[in-house]
Amino acid sequence: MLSLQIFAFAGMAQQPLKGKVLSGEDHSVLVGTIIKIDQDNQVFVTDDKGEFSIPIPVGTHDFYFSYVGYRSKKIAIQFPYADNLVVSLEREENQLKNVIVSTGYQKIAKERTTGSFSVINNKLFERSAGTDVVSRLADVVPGLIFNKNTPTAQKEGSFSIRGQSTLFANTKPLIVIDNFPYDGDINDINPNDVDNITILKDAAAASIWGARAGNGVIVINTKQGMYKQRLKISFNANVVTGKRPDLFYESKMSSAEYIEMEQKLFDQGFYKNSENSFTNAPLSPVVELLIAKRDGKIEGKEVDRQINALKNEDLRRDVSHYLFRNSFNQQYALNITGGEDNQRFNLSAGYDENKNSLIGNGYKRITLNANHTFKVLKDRMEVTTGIYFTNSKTENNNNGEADLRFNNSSLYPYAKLADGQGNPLHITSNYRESFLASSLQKGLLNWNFNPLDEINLIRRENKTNNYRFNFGVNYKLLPTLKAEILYQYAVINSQYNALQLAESYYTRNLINSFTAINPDGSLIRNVPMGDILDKSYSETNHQNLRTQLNFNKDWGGEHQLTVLGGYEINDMNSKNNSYRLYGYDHTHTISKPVDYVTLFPQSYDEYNFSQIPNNETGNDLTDRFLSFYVNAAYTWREKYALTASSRIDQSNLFGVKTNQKSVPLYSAGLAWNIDREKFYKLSWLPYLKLRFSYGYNGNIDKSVSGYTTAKFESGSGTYTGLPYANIINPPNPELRWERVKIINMGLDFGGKGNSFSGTIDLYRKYGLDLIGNAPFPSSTGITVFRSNTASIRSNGVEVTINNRNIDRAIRWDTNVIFNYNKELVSKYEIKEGVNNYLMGGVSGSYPLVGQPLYAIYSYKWAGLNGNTGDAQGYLDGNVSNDYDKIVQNAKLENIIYNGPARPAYYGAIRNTVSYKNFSVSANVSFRLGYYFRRNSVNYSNILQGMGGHGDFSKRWQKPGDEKFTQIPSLPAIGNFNQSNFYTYAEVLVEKGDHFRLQDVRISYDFSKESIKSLPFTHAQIFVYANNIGLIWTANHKNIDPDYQYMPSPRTIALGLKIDF
Amino acid sequence: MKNKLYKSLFLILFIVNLMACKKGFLDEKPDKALLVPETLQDVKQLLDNSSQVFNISTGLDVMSADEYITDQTTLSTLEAYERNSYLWEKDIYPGVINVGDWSIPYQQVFYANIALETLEKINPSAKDKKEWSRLKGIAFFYRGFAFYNLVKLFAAQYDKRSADQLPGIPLRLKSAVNVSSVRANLQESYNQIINDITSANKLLLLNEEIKTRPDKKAAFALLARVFLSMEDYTNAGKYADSCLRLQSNLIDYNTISSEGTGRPFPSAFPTGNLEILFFSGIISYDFPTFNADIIIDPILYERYEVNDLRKLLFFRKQSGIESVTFRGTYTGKNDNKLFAGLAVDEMYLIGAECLARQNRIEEAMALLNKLLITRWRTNTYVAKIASDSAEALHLILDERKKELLARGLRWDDLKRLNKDPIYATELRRNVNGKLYVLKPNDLRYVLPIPDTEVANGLIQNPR
Repeated sequence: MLSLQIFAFAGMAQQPLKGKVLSGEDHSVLVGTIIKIDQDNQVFVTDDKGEFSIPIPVGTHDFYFSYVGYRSKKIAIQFPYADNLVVSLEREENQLKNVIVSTGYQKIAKERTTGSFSVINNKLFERSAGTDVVSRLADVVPGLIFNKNTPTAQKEGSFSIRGQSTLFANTKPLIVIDNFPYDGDINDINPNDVDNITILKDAAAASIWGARAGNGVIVINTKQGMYKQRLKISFNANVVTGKRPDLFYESKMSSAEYIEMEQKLFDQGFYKNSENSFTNAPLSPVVELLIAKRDGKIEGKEVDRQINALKNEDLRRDVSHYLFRNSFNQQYALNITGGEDNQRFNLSAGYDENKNSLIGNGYKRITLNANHTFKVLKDRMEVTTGIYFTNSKTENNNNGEADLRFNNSSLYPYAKLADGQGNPLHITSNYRESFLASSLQKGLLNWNFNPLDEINLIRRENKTNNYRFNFGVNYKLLPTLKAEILYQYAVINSQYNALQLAESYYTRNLINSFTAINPDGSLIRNVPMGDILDKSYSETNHQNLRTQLNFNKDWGGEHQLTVLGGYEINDMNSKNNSYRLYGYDHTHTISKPVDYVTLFPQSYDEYNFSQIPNNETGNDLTDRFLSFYVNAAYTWREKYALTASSRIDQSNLFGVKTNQKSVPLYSAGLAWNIDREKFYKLSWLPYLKLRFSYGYNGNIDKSVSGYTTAKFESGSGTYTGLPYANIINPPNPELRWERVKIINMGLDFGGKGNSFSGTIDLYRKYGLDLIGNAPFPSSTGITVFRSNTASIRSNGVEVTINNRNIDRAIRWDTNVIFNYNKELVSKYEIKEGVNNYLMGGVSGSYPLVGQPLYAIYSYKWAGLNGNTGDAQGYLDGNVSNDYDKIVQNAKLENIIYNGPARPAYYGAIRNTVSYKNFSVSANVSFRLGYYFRRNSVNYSNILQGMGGHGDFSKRWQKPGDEKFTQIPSLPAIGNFNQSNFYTYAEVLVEKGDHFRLQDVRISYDFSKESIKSLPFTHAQIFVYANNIGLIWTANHKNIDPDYQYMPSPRTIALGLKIDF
Repeated sequence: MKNKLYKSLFLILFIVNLMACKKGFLDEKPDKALLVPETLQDVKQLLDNSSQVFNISTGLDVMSADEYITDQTTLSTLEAYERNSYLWEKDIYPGVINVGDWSIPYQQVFYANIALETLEKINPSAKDKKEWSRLKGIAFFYRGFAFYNLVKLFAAQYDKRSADQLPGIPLRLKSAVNVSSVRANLQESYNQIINDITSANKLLLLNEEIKTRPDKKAAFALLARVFLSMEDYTNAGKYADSCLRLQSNLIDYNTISSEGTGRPFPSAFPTGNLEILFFSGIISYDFPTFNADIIIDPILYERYEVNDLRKLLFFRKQSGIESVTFRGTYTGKNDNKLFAGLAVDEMYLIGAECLARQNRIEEAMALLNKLLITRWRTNTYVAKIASDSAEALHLILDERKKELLARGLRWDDLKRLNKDPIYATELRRNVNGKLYVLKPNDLRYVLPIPDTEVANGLIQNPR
């Protein structure tokens, strides 16, 4: 009343300000928003439609809007104001108390949990751009790391949660989508359909998933409609361009150096054997020129001129120019969602089209989703249906550099792929040019290999249709008891086609190799003329059925008990068939039969007998689980929470005996909300919670069985052609699940007004009963025995800190994720030869007790010899260059353990600054405490004319050079052990520690409240740059420890998001 | 009404769900290609595992014997255990966990035992009885052959007087892997070998078309080979004769083209050339494949006479190089393994040797000449004659070495013949200026037992 009087006193005309307050997150109305005007005490509240109408005098007034859980907003409005004001409030980030975690079995408030969960909300998830879901989790989830220590790990996008707790079993975290385990290709999921993601890390969080929880669980919830929500349409479009890869990143021997080496080897007679070889092994163009010069076929001067010209060529220029391009990915997504009092729905459509950096390769994806939920029986029953469809097509016509081979090694660096006019040129690859010429005369097909032509002559294509149908019904039997049935049927069909046209080198090469020449000169073509078509089909059918009871009772805030229990059937079958057609005619789809049994001499080497490659394979795999689970949570006065969970899994993998003996995997947890205690007085820290959990998760190894099992083979590849069987598994009735015991302690805290918040977790993990190999006396008939013999132990720390540094017109937030993880093999029975640890330590294939699973070892290095430039190591404690002996006498005791090959410390620091509608955010990631082996010269390869690393030019050449180089001199003759010693020497091991500016995102928001004429409620445009570059590395060689061969190309995304 | 419908529908669903899981749901095989051996068909397929399990013979003895020669450069490219075998080193496989020459025969024993145990559990119907017996015979044959290959390498030369004192090999007669191995004595080992092959002989078919499967003739031939190795010339001669009574045809080498540089004999698969009784190939080590730098002892090569077609068919000449490599394997055209199976020519030579040792010189020479005439150019062969048994034996043993070149028989012959001072041979190798010598009856004729076995309690062979 007072304020009205003041306005009245001003004597100005009053007009009511009408408007509405919405949640900025989902545009639902915010009923009961508090509105204050200027410095006045008068309070207005929005009605049950979220609307308000306030009489306001002319002039400029500040309006303050506040709502619990949302950021307060101040808007200055100039009156008179004709339009309806629409105000949207943003949800408070880091509001720990409001976070809902989802386990796939239930959704519960984080404050009532005892386990270690990380929740990625939609906003953080949409911060990055890209086609797939998983890569968006990089550097934003505590405990999760993408492994980059080996090229394979990198290629497969391998990632792990809190390190690895198994040796040879499955290492992938379980992915759960909309309540059920997802076994399809994760790339079939459109990231625009993802609403939120919860990562389950410790036993209390994950043990509900039992035998599949050992590697952690990623629970993905797709977008759903909400009751009483107005119709909302949003549209998303973005394009991502990536630079073509930098082929010059790894230093290589120059063409001139390569040619000089070839000349030198030629003078030494190195190519004599190949010249006379029975196998018609190829000789490089330079060697052929030198032979012509020696034999007087071409004049010496002309040869020298031609060779000098080749010295200026660089294959990488051609590869970069003709095989690569800038990648260009487009993504469009449309989402329609809404809800009424008793039904809600969500519809979405997405289209992706990617042009990869390799010309001719691409990816297309269409996704269509629809789900609908309705309530009946006076809201006591809820029925949900959902259909999810993905169609994707991958084209892989260009293998890039992988196809550019010379004599099964890398191609000579002076090769040219095209002439000055861009016409494709042929390269020498598998055979001598003179042999190819004579073959042509004998009537064989042209045997030239023109790499640029191949891209158009080979069509490799994979098409996948992925369907998921969901049906769910829950029924409130009593106010406290709900029964639930969930069912999912998923079908994935995929078809792979590789058509190698008759003109392709692949096909011509195979036809020619299998052509026999009769004494009369006539030809027998054992591989018929025509295209070669490889085809494979796979079909996966997956059914899940879950029946569950939920009990939930609250005794007036004093006690609260939630119990859920149920059982689940999981039945997955996948069938796979592939075959090959020879003599195929793609216009008429007819083919010709071939003889797969006879071994035919190869036309290029009569002592080489081969069967015609028969790509006929098939399999039929079934995974079945029957699981029983129960989970309970009790809270007393919201202060203490106690949780327990238990699950029994039985499967068809292990044999019935093992199932009958199965022991439940269980967990227990305890949480204490200290801030609820009466004695708690820290007003600057209103949120403080201590957690403790203990329990077991399981893991699966599909390669073992409890029975004597033999594998049936068709025998089509053997000499007799008879079907036969291999014994793959001696009986092992003792076989059981791998178990991961996890002890976790956590502390969650939050400051006043969310000025800061954070989480600290300390954990210990024990991988127990791990399936490992034990050496077995081979007189038993087997040499190794796979059984539950190994264990791993790891310790870790996870810290997340969110801090609001400035909270004014400019807002500046910092989020820090820090992880420490150290894993050690604690029990393993095989000790391998030292060589395996040196060469394979990084791959994790050779566990060694007391060491990390992924480790770098090296030979002790004694520098270069000042007189000869020889690499020197130690033999029995003395400096030596007797490489054979050094290698032979290497023992674990006299080699160096440098350290782990995967980071012990890793994390990210993300800063976000926003001002008005502008927001800039940058993420710096770091990986510390690990080692990698850098590449250098391999003289036994170089001395076989195979070229090598660019360190060659920096090698020791004269006494004194040892002062500034550690690269050994070129030995007179190649010695495998010399190369072996240097490749695995201490001097080539580098620290991997680095900081990287991973990405930067700049966005600008438009909203109706600031620009009234907008035809939509909200829009955002953004620019997102990814893989920006290193900030600091411990190594001084400018090597990116994560990308030794080729750095991940920088990408820039431009995007637009509109909400109507 | 509608509410009731919903309620009862839900109730039905809930109850149906609780019963949804059928019995046997978890008995489904995880992989359709898997089988737990139970039927005759399963056993047959286990026994038909020729390329990975059964039809493989040892190879380290070939590297140790005196047929092949190589140089330092090539040796340095070979695996350490190949190099060590060639140089008769004391320790052959330092640090090597899996020694193929030991583990492969034992894998054969393991498979054979699983087959025998599975057959034991099958009560064959009258219709299946024949197949059941045949499979049992095949399993016994494979086990006996595997045990023989093991004693050949890992036990001392058989001697009637001391065989029950000498260590033999572990005789694993059950498939259970958790039973420790113990070395039986040499007499027991040979008894088991003879027992297995004799049992096989009674059960096998007279003739198997496919040469990776043993038949009765093959069992006779193997018995002849084993008894010869035991210096039981009466029995060896008897079984060679039993075999030759069933199959004695020889290839006329004039019908085989020596054109080109390829391998001249027809493929051993699936039915083989007419001399092959049973196929077995030597483990595919790098040595002695058809590597140009691993040559045949030039002195041996010179011993083949001008009109002897084997001189053309067995060897590959390389342009500009004096030395020759071996190409005349009975494996034939299309496999890279050396033939170490059983063939008719070996039976002629065993028969001839046994006759000569029994002083039946004329019969012995007749048998030898019957073989050799097929090896010579048509109308050039002059029948060999011998005036006494020593001369006959000399001729026969010389032809044995030449005919059975690279068949994996030489090492066993050396072991056996070294006991006789007349035929004892001192082996010498000259590598990089260093001379290596292996005296007759040297302890190094017995290969060491792999370390993993010694660690599990087996007695090591002194070297």
